[in-house]
Amino acid sequence: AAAAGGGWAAVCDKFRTARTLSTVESRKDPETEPYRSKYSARALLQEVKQLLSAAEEGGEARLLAVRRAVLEYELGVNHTDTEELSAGEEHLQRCTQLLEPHRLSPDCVSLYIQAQNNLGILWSLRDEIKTAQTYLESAEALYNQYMKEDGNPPLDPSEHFMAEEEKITDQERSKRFEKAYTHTLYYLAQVYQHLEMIEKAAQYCHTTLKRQLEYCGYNPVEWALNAATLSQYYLSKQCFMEARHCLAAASVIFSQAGQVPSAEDNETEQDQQDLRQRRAEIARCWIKYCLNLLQSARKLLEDNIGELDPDRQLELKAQRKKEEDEKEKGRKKAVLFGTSDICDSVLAIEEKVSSVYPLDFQEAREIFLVGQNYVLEAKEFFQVDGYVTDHIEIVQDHSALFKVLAFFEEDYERRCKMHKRRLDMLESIYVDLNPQYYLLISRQLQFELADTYYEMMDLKIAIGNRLEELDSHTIKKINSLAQLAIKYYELFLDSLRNPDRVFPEQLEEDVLRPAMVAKFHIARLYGKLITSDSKKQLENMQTSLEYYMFLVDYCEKYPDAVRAVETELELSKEMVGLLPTRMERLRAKLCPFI
Amino acid sequence: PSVSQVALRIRPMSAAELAEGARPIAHRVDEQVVVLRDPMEDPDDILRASRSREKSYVFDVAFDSSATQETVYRATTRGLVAGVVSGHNATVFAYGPTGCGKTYTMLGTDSEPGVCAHTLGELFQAIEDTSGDTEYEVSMSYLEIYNEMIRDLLNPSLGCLQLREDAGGTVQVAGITKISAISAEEVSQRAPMGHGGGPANPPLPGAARLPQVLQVLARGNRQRTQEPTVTNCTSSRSHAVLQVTVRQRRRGRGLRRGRLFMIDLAGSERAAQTQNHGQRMKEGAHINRSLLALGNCIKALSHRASTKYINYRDSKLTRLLKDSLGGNSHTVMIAHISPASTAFEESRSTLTYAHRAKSIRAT
Repeated sequence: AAAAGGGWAAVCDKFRTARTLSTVESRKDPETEPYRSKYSARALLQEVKQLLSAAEEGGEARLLAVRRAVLEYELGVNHTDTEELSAGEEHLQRCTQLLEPHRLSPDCVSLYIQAQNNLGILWSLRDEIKTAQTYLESAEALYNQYMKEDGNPPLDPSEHFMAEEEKITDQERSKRFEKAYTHTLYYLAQVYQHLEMIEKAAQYCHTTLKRQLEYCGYNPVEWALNAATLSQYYLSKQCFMEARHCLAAASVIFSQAGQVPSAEDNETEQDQQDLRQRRAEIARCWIKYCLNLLQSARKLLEDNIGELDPDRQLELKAQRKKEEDEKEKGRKKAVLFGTSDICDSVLAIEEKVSSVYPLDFQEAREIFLVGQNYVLEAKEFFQVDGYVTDHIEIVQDHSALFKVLAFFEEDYERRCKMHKRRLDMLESIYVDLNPQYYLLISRQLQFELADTYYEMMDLKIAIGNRLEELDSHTIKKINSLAQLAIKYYELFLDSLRNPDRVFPEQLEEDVLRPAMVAKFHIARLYGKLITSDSKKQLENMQTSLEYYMFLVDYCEKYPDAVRAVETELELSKEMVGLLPTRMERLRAKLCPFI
Repeated sequence: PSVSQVALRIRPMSAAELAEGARPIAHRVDEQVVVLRDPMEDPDDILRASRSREKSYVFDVAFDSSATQETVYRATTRGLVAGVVSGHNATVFAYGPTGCGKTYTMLGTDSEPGVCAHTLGELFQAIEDTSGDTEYEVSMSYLEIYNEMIRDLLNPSLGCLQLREDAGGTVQVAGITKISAISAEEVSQRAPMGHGGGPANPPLPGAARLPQVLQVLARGNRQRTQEPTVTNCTSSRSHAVLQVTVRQRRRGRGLRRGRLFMIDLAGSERAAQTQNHGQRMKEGAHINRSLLALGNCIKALSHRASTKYINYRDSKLTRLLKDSLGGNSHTVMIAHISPASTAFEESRSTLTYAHRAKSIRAT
């Protein structure tokens, strides 16, 4: 028999008032009394508790127990919210005890899981993260077991204090139940992160995102940014398929935003600005995706002098054929952001760019073009005026895209053209940059410019060597490129001097290798300069020798530096041995009578 | 940064706290140990007695209301002075929530001068003692970093200043007033207008000049940006940085430069990061209930090891201290808490943070 009609309605009312106080009114509490509403709620809950224990026991034992459990839950959360953790813990424990024998049944499972969620939160507040983990994992297991064994939408805990006609639909029940479980997963993501189980944390973040789309309601811009950020994590793990999926979903969901027209004008302007910026940021994530994919492929394909190894290429192509179908499907299913309406759109974007390593020029070029498009898109917002650092980073990425594409290009002349594009874009931003304000970026650009000139020079020499002899035009070109490379390496080295223009005795760790490489390359460049004037040639060799000596001497003085420049050091030592002899011979030719 | 020492200072209960009915829950147990007790408010709660609600924290040195300014100075900062005079860098931080005594520790009052005053006094004395064959030049600047903007507290009308990094990698504030702290007549005449840098020293009785210097500092401190502490607006923070540079030129030995930063950090109390509906954010291993914070969780996943170039450009404060944040500089952190039960959450946060700082050593 139901409890006395009018009395029960009053009890439900009290309960509902308490909940409203806790969740709605409490937001308006003043700074000086932040828990005022919660204390009032607590008093009401205590009253309901009293009324329940006064009620008849008997056939309704189970129902009574569940209702009591709901109260213990609410009190537990209330105490936790007001920072009274020990009391909170007690109430929550009592709740789970009452529900224990029936925890897998539809009237109890949701409440049990929520109680465990809150116990997890509580223990995290005590800095006992492992204990939190056990509660949350237990909640997770219970959900899975329930879905497997029963699966019907369970009662929402609030229904235990509702009249029959107020009970909610199955659809709503399911929604709330899934939301509770989403929180379980989200809390677990945080826990795993604190325990430094990063891969698991990422997996749970991913699942949370997925479920937000399906059950929870979401803000499209935020969701898109989160998904794009997650893609960067996947990139760091070389999981390109997952990264691409996140980015494609981000792009699709993002386009859902900005479709709601806003009434007020000034709000719209700032909002529009924000939207454009977010869109550009997502574009930058895509650039990183393309760049990473190309660079990772390069690492797999290059031989020990940095050129494309055709044998490796064949090997990888054969391997790809085999692996393609099986593995991918399994992984894909696990990470699919699966709501049907966005599925097709996401797929459409995914099909525009590959997620497997490009193994030849054609494949690389396609990825390059996608990346280049995103560069243009990002630059539209991140213009030099106002976003210097961002703009420069995008240009650097663009240059990197060309650099890695050149690796796949077989024809040397075409490679040169790509490097020329790099030089143009880097020089145009370098020339306006104040090296005092932008020291770090300045150095990066100097070094990259020098390296690019160096590379181009090497290519011109290689092209020239295929002909019978070098014509004067080519020689001029080679020398000019070499001089420019030297110029920029010297600029870089100059930037390391202290205010008294003295080159540091000992180099700091973050500039050690680039400085040594710069010296080494300059040495080599002086060796490559072509001149018919023997005296000039001697001078060049002397300069070359001095730079090689610098490396050798520095590494003797600071042996810790050796591991940063092993290869270069070996070659330097050889040259230091060879050059003096060559110079002697040349001198002998010039002055045969001395 | 390499933290050489972490100290903790508990201030006395304030009149306001006593009026509220707060009880003391933080105690200094011995020279190094501080105990914090979790206050219980629930009257129903009889079963709690069995479990201890106390947590203890060990620091390099701990102080409570029985410690004088001089004691605090001696135990923490005094040891840094000799190093600065001979060309090393050092930093002293005052950390903690608003109202827990950071400014009192650093600046102090006329009758109870703080760390800055004692340090300057000691500096002048040390210089006087060795100024035989050595020339010294001491200069100081007092600036505020507020919302990533830098203001000269000795000449606030200059507005917002820029950081400049010279080719050697030293970070300076362009255009800031430098006072030559030796020649104090110039201090009283020139400040706050002056662009400092008086002639290198004649030997002088440091104590006589000190009061003027301190007056200048006190004036500068009143120029700090005030704002009512409201916990639910986006964080606005004012750090005050006193920078003292000592240049030493020994005959035949070249030039050495030591820099000492004394920093009164902005309040460490947590500001709500989102419209958090009255629920306060807690740091550390605590689980954030709101799904709105999923983004932070995801961002933290990609936190990778440093790239080829070490990124010093995180914030203005870090940039200014770049020199000091290397492996061979000394850093002292003085954390501050209130003993009141009403400040439990913040005290616990501060203690946890300071406690973790102890385990950071030079990499």
